[in-house]
Amino acid sequence: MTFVSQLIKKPVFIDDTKYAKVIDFGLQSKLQSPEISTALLKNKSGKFAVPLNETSQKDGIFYLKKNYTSIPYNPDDFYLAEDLLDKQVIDITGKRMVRVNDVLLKENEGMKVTGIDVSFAGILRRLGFGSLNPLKTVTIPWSAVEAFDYQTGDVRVKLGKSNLSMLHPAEIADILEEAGTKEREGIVEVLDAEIAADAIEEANSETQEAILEQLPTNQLKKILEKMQLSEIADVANEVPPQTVKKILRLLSAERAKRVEKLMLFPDDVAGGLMQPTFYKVTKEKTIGETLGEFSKLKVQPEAVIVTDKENKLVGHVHANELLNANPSTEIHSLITEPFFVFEDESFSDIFRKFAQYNLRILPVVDQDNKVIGVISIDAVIRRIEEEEEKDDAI
Amino acid sequence: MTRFKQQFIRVLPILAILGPGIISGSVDNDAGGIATYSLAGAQFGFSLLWVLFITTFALAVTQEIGARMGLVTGKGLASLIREKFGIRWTTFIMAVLLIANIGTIAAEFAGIAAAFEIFNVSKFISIPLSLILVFFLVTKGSFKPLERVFLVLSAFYLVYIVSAIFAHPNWHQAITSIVTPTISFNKNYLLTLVAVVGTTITPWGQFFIQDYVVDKKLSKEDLQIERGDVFFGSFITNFISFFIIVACAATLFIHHIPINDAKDAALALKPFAGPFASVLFGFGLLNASLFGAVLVPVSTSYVITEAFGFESGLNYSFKEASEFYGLFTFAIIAGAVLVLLPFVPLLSILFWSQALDAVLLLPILVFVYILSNDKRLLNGYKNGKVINAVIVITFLLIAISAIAYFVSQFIS
Repeated sequence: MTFVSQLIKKPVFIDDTKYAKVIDFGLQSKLQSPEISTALLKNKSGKFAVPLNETSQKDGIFYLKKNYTSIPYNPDDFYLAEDLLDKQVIDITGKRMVRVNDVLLKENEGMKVTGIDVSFAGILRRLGFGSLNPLKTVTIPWSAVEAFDYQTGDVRVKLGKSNLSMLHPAEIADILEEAGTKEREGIVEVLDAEIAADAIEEANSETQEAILEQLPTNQLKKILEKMQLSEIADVANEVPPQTVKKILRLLSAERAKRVEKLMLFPDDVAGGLMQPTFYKVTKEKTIGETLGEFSKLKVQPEAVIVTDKENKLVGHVHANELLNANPSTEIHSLITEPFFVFEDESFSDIFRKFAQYNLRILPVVDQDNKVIGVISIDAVIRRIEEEEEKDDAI
Repeated sequence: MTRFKQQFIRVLPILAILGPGIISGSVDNDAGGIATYSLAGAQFGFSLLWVLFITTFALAVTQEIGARMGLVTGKGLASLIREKFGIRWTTFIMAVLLIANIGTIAAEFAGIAAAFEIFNVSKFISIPLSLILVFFLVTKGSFKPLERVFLVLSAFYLVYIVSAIFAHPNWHQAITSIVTPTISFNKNYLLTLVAVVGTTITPWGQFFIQDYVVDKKLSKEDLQIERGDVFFGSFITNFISFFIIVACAATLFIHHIPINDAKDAALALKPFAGPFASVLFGFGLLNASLFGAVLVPVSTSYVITEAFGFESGLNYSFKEASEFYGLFTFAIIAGAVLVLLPFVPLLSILFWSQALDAVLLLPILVFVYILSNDKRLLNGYKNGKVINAVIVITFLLIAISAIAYFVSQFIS
């Protein structure tokens, strides 16, 4: 096992004369393979790269072929010292950001990156205490690492698809909260709009704002299309007016209108917490009819809101209750008691109702008892989580 | 959208962002600050006021750089140093920071001890008790609600303004002293000059402001508001420092009363508080010192664990972030032990730690200078010429005064 820190600054000889020193190792563009392709050298006349296979190593000294090929610097290449050493990377298995203390290499017929060292032992080794180092080296295999380009913050995608999509959106959200500005943009860029939207919804409000203010327009548009309206309204309430305008412009006219309406509610009352879109049927529909319509929907809602002809609330029925009921009965027969809150009721009232009646959703009505939205238990939990986070920060 | 709503939305972000500059500004006037300014006023009257003029700009500029680098990169100063200069330089800077911060923490505990001595409580009782208090305030997560209490109690400093006015100083002379540099090769004068700079612009404050901005995820759009905050914070800090010096000059300096302990320093509040001057001073000093004794060790721990890649933050458990809590515990114990050393006067700790801060700031300024001029890192947000000039002047002011002090030490 070799560490990159042990090779950097090593002298390079041509025949018997010292010619340069090694300052970095490059991987071919786009990281198609972990094979090191170039060595970056430096001497009095400056920096230059050479193909690794024109060098050889013996007793801690590099030997370079006399008529070596000089390769021009390619910004698309990934350099171990410049882009990896001392930088933060994503540890896919650990689901967090880690700092690279050293890079592990395997030498046989060339050199291959096999992993990164994230332990304090790595730091001690680099400070020159390697020999009297009592600590254990902790490594992460290269396949579980997502690295960034130091200059641009782009995620270095290995073999096509980024491993990031394997993580749960909430885990991606944690990583987004920890990442620097460029890296944050890089992460959102490699995600599918759908996953990106989910991850942004799970992130804390500061991170949400930062991302929405930062993203390029076309990408922002794609992600906004996948985000829930209540989440968009929450974020829009916290960003500067020009960003609000930009967000509203990117939404379809219909969605923009709804977001503007939601923004009028403070986010700690029912109106600010609810989703304005929900699935509803009139109370006379039979369960069979409802299930028939249900199966045509792309996304199956958790529950059906039942109203009368004037859109006044009758109650709500969970999807699984429908499956167990007699298909020919009218849907309102399943409702024993309607649960609801008014649009201006406070979060503590909402929370109490959820806890007391073990609810998963709660309809929101206006003064005329007309349904205007639905609060899901997820929204309640997220809200509690945000409060907790505020208490944690110093 | 209603008109009111639009107005409200415009103001909200301002309210949310206003803060870090003011917090770190008000903590700058901590125990060491009060002691140093009191000594400056009591020993040299108005003749060090010109230094405040320079440090106001220096503080504003260094804080602005920290805020700007945080906004643009989303990374703390320790991360930026690690990523650009590698592990060796990072270790060096972290060692410098640790030494400076332990000095500052010792000063905070010395402030606590000095405050209690006014009420005749021995440091051997007050220090262990406050050590335990600080430990539990931080680890039990009960600090957050108290933060506001500390900030509100910082209004104590306003007492100095009233006291200075009641003491009827020569205002004309005080104001002209701000813009008239007095150069003296008195070694005490040189040392106090260094301490005045060191208590205003601190190593820990430089890291703190950037981490705070990063934590709040402020973005480039917030830069103007954030600049306003740090400039306002810097001005307020030194506005108050000015009155501390003037109050001490008008009460202690003109009557040739030297400061030997906190009771002497409290005399500066006599024109306002009369017989209650000592009590008032004691509470003010205690509040300032406790606030610092919590904030500085936590910030130390954050920065060092960030630099070396350990888990850091109060939302982790002891087990998850043992290095973070270990460092925090080490820092407060080290600071407290220094104060308990026999034969070391509290005032010396308060004063010398500030001079040490200034000297240890020098290497940090070099890194801040290089990073904040890095075009590739900050794109269009690198330093302008004026900002660079202020850093260079600050650097030279500390370096030349410190060297002159050492030279005068050998000559006499």
